[in-house]
Amino acid sequence: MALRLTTARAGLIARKAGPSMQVRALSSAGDLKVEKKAEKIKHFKIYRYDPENKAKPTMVDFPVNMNECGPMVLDALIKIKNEQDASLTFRRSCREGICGSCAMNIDGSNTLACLAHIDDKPTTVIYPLPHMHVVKDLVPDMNNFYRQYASIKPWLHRNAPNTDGKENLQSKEDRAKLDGMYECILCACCSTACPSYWWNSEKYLGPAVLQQAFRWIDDSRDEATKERLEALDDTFKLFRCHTIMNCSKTCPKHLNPGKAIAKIKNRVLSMH
Amino acid sequence: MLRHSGLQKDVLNLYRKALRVARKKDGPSSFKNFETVKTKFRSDAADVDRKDFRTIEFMLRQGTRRIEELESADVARVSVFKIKR
Repeated sequence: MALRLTTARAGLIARKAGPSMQVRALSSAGDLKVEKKAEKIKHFKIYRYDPENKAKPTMVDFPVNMNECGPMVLDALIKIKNEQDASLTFRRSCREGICGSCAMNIDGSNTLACLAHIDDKPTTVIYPLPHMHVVKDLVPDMNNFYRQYASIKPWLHRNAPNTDGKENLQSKEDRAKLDGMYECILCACCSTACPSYWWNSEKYLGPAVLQQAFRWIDDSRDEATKERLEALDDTFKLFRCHTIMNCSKTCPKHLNPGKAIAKIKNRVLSMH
Repeated sequence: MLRHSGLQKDVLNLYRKALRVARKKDGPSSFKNFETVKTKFRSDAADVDRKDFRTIEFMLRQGTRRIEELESADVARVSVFKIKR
């Protein structure tokens, strides 16, 4: 921290004072680099399981020197895959929390590896998303989750196409209703944090999918609202939610699926 | 009387379904898919310890996925090959 402060300050002075000062600032920065930092080792305990070779799942410890590693857990995973064990398997893509591929269980809570800072504790434990079937190492089988998402028909339903061939317009207030729902990246962190979903993943849709269902129910342009609500009016699909609220607590995008589910319940009940 | 466990029933049901789908895919004059499914099931069954539930359940899920694939209209033929590791 102290190192960074001094160089930053030197840069500031250099900018103020002009070119002659800049030379000095540069040379002093060069001197600082010569000091070698002590190795800071952090241990990553990672779940390893390859069903195809019929061995039991194991936890494998990977020591990583934090001075040579980026700040996020995903950086550490990529570093381990590059330098220590190329067979370590995990999904990743955008490394900035927009694709939702690197969802996993880090130190006991579901989150995106690319959005999780590496903390100062000596070890970090990494598991795949809980209660999902494992394909390999940190890769869970998402088929059921995607099938459930498809089951809510997540697209705009219109009774007739627009005659003028233009877009479906919406007021600013109606658009604002979708804020906090459309941002969902379907990483499945919330669904796999929900005990109700753990025990009934075949029948209960889970918070992520229900929030998306409400995103379409609450959309002023959508004309299938009644059908959507009727489809959700089910002991299992919707009402397996017991307001445990693990979903809202764990969401790496800070959304609130629990609230969306409560609103669907209200809408469904007012239909009766 | 022979009684099957739940897992054994699951496996038998999967085998039955796989054979049906393969037979339907083959048509009246060919047995290629049917034979492939049969050999694959028998070799897998011999390959896994019957108490190894974890692996059997994994194979069941994999098998279900493969049947779904075989059922789709785009697929005409299945075959098995082994990668040497």
